[in-house]
Amino acid sequence: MTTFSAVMARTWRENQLFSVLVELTYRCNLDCVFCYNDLGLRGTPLSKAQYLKLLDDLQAMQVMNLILSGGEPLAHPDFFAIGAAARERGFVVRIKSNGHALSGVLARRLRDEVDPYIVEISLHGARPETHDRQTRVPGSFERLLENLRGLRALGQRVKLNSTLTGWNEGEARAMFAIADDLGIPLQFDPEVTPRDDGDRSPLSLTASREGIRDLFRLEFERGDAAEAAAGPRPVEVARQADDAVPVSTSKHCGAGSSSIAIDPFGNVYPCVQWRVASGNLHEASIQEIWSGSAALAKVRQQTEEVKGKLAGFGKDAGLMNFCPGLAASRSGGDPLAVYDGATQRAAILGEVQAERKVIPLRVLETSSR
Amino acid sequence: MIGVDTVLRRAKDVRHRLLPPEAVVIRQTVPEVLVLNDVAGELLERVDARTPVSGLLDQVAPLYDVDRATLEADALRFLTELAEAGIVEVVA
Repeated sequence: MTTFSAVMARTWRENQLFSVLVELTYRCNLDCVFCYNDLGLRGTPLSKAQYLKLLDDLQAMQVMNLILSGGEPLAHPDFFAIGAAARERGFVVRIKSNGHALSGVLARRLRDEVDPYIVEISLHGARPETHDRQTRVPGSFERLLENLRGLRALGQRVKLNSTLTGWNEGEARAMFAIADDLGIPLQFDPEVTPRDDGDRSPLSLTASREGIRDLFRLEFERGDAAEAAAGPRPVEVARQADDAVPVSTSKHCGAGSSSIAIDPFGNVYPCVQWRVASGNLHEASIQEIWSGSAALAKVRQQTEEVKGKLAGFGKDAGLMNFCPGLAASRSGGDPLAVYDGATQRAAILGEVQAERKVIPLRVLETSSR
Repeated sequence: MIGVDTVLRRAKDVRHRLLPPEAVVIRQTVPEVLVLNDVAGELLERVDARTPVSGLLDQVAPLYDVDRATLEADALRFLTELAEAGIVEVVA
């Protein structure tokens, strides 16, 4: 029987588009310090009719995952029309939101009209001072917690995402406690990224080495606890309806092979983090871009080259969480340029793994009695 | 019991795509991912709450070089499994 992992591997290998991230707008009701959007980007926004045509085309291409992002996607005037159209066309719809507006009628409309598979929401700290410092909107933390409770009460599946920064690195445990209390999973990204226009100022918020190490320790600790509580696992049941499923191919990632990103002005990129201009929906259909873009063809080749290059790092390659898009943005265009964040991550993760292999002294003392 | 006269519909939480030679089905509420073979995928694609299983077989038969009896037996088995998994529901 074919597994979902095998199907995903085939989408990478055969360039079968499976996931599309659509940045509907760069408008936002928060003002996050490290927002990566290129707010200076100009162009003609895609119209509602163009979005509906895009959805028709993606459905015909058998695309399954549609991620509506921003900015704040709900700030787009046609968000509900586009979201409902996506649902009618059978996409698995994911929403990336800051959650600030998701209360009351709006939250119910989202559930009833768009019926998203999941809503991913950003949490920036465990205290109002930390979260609101990031969003630059006073009261956003308390409002977010209230909205998260409301979404859960509606039965909406929610996930929290957080970037570890120098501001919140001391609050990771407390943030997990908030998430646990809400019954919502929380995923950290230990890497702050430059803005899409190349501005590297957000990197000043990068978490310390100790902060990243403590996060990894905490994640192992929580993983161990969850594993102990869960007991033996079934042999294999695919539970993740997304690209988090492990994929084994000659490519490093599915950027440009099974996934793409589209900005509010119709520009198509291999990935939200690998912003190589690959076509524009004002000038060509998504089918034409997908099959004819020289830029996408080059990126597909480069993902194979990245895999080959990382193989030279041995076991560390698997710990680096290397992103060719980040490499390109940090190096001025070279997706193969290994950057400090990746090597540092591998080193820290290696240290934490090594710690876990050392038998704690107290265990030896206990066993000797 | 699903037979050739049974009419089926897809469950409301089912999302599916044909990626020959397989089909991927995601159930939103569970959540769960299932991979179907191409015959089951083509049948699921055509389930519309109106067409009986015999009509689905008429549509799918030209796609496969197999006799009708074998196709019907396979189809009824697949559709029964899909019904047991909550992916399709009996309308009539």
